[in-house]
Amino acid sequence: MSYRLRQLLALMKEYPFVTTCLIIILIAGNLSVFLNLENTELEHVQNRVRQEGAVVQKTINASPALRSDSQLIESALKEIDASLVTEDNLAENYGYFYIIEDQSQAQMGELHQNTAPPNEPEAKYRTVPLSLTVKGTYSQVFNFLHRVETGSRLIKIASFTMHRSQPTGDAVTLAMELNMLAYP
Amino acid sequence: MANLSRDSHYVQPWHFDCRLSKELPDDNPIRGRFLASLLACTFAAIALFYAGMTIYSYSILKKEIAYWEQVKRTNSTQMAELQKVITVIQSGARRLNEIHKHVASPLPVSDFIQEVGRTRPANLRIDMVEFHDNAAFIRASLQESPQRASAQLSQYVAELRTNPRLRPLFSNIAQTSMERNTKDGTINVEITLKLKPVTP
Repeated sequence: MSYRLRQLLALMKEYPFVTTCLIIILIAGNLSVFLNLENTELEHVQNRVRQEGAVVQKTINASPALRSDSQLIESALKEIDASLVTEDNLAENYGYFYIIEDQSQAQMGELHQNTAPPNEPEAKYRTVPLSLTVKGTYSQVFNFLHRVETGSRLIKIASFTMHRSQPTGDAVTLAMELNMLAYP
Repeated sequence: MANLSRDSHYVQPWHFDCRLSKELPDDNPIRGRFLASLLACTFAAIALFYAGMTIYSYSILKKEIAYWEQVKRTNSTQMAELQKVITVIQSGARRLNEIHKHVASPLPVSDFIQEVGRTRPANLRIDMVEFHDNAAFIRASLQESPQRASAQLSQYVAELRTNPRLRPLFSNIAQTSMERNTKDGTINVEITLKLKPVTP
């Protein structure tokens, strides 16, 4: 046994209380260092699971709203899908406006389906452009316009001109450029 | 200095010092042992306290992690079901956005025409209403003297600007033309209404 070790043992025997305290400090220090490292790791894990858990709770709380939104969207899309037109089906596309002509009692002049722009990749919808003119009294033409806007087909009026057919009188002419929502 | 030499007389002990100082035990080791014990005890207490706190934090973190894991586990079935609902909503929202991009009209045309007709002054004859390139144009004529026509038109444009149905649609409403028709003496005017950009 070396001299220094013997000296240390002698000191330990002489100071048993201090020795016990030093051993406690050593053990507690090591434990603290080890647990601190563990805690740093655990804090990251805790942050992650807490965020995930909060998302779960938020989602569960919002589940009635999510379900009703989903049903609403699904029914809206069904309705929209039912109103879509096909570019090639000219008879049906024109027929829709002839029905409105009958209902509004306005007189339709020109009605042309123009060439549709090329499809965007992965697009679920496209638009079919149309141009038409309508003549009649102000109320007939307005009725026609209102029915086109609020009818079963989804239509965007890209441009229009409404003017008097003659300098005097009630007759008006409406020329419109439309876009109908269609299958791609 | 004189005072000091005189007072040094009183510093002397008042009795004989009989202690055998060299034979007395040294009291320094006792003091040293006490101080060492005190210091060691203090540091041990601090170390124990710190270790205790660390263990406490460790247990709290473990408990919290276990709680959130439990929350995730108990709701996992419902979450899987809701995830499907969310996917339906997301794909539906994408489709609705695409539809909006295609057919959202910046101008509800029939409402606009109705509002223009409803608010026009009695003597203003609307000849044409036009809409293209995100702007609407009202072309009309007034059977009035230029001064009265100008005043009336300014008032009409101000009314259009404050109209609760038109104000949200248009960013700018202005009179863009006014000229006298030499044939029938009427005043021809043009009002331009610029649309606000559409946001989904």
